[in-house]
Amino acid sequence: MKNVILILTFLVLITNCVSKQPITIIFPDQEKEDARKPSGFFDFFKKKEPIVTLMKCVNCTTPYSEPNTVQLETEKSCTSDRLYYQDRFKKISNVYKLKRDNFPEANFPEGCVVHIMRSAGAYDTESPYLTQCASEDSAPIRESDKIKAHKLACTTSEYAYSTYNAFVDVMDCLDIPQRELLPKIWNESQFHTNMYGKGDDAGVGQLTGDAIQEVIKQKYADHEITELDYFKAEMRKSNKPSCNRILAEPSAWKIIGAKPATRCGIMTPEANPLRNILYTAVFYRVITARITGIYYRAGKEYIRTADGFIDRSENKNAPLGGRVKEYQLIEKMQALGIQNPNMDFLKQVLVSLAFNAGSNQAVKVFDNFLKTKIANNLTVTEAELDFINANSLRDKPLIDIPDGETEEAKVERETKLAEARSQAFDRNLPQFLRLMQNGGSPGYVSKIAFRTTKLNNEIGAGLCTQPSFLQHSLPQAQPQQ
Amino acid sequence: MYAAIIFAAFITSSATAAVKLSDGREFGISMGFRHQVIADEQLRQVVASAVATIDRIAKSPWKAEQKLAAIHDTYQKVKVYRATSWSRSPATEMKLDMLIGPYESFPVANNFKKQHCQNYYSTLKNEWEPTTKGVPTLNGVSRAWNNLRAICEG
Repeated sequence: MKNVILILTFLVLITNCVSKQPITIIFPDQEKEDARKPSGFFDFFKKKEPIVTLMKCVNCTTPYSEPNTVQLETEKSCTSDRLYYQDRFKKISNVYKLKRDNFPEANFPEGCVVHIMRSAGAYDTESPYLTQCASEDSAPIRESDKIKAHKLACTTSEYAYSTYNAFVDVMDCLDIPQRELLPKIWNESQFHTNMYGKGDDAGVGQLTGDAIQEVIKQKYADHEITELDYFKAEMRKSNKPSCNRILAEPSAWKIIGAKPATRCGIMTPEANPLRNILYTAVFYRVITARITGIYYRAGKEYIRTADGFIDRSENKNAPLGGRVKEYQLIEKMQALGIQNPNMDFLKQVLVSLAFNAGSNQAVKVFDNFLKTKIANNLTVTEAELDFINANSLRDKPLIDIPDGETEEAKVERETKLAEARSQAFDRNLPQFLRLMQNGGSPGYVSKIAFRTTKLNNEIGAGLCTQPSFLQHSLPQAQPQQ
Repeated sequence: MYAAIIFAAFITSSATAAVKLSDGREFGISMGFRHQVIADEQLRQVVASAVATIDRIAKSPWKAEQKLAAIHDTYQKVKVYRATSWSRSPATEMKLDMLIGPYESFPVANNFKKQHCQNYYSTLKNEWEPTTKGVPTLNGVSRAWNNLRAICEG
């Protein structure tokens, strides 16, 4: 019996050496071996395989990668408990799962997405937010007494490229600035398709039931067409290669129910991450149209006016419509001394906030900032509108509930908070939003600004971020979370 | 008949919005938008009026369509008043948004139908209820929502 075991062990070792799979090497001269130790019995027999270097960076070291280098992991370099989705990633169509040699639509490197994915931790310990789906028509399986949570899915070439390619295609096709959503997604799912929040927010875009409902609802009250149908029809008119690739993936277009019981439909591979990213982008477009009056038609952005549609690519600072117009936000900014309000800034702040707090709340809290400034005869400078540079932390200690807070301390904190809110007209915009945002996560836009600066500092300035994002003017500095 | 009830509740606020306040606070056109800065108590009274109006509509013997039309009319008045009446205090603005917010979500439709009413109630339920936990609200507001639900579902 002992001999049989020894022979079997020898055969496994030999097989492993012989069957080493070739992998895509982007920079062969930078191949490095992973020094990771095996965690399972069979991991011991795995042949170590070169990992793939994507790019050098400023300060981006993540676990199990070379210092300041963005690297992919490989099936053989990951422990077996991180490969739970690898078979499904391999079934994703080649159009999405393989590196594209010619990808003119991409205006940021894949290293941005991979760095964000690899910054998620949970390499050696499980995270309760990382789940697994049995099928598309089920609820994600959360950690429980009987079920163990998961570690980070191995960032293999198949996983990383199916995420990156899908993200770039969808953003390009729907005319959404590609780098604008990177800091937001870092703040949410870190691009992990099996990330499942406590509020049943799911996948790459961390879509909630309400968000899914926005995508699948009827666009017009008396027609059966859904928002998703509308965007499909408009994408067909665009003739963009990115749109054609998405249209050629029927599984991306499946209507997914908004109830948590079917949330796996926007989480589980092979249809995802593409389907989730498509839903996320449609949701972005729906709330953008509602708030700003910017509509998507045949691959481009237009502003709807009383006289028709203005092509935004020809007039980037054309006055916004939608709720911005309804609430007269532009006129109020002008009354406060901002003579030429930046429409992109308005769109970025309001849409970012709407993702977290809802469209109505986003517009109202911004409107209240302007109204109470006017009511108190104040003016506003561009520096007060700068989420990248302005300090947003002033009232954070009043908002964050400390662990083990006593009843007495709670009363004291809430009294100070009420006082701060009644005096909030003297705050800058980031401070005001943190203090007055009602619903969602206070300081959400500042958190996205923080991720923006983090990307600039870790990968390199401007490589993964939108120029002047969340700034009314252009200066660069360090925001605080 | 229902119009008379609405006006009974809103005549004060509508009239106030149309004139300059006696203490000299401004009201009018400024940089293209209309606004008046008013005391918090006045704003609270407007909300209380709205709540009372919905109460009366719910208890009235009208047909469902008449109730829906009355709710729509109420909403339009609240919306105009709220948009032009500002407080100096962001805290008051925040509270009022929570109280009146659902009115502002009310779809502006030429033909106000049951479906719109249901959408309105659904919006209200999703966006308003979760945000009011622990925040002091006016007496009767939750009763008003129950009335609204009954009207929309009726």
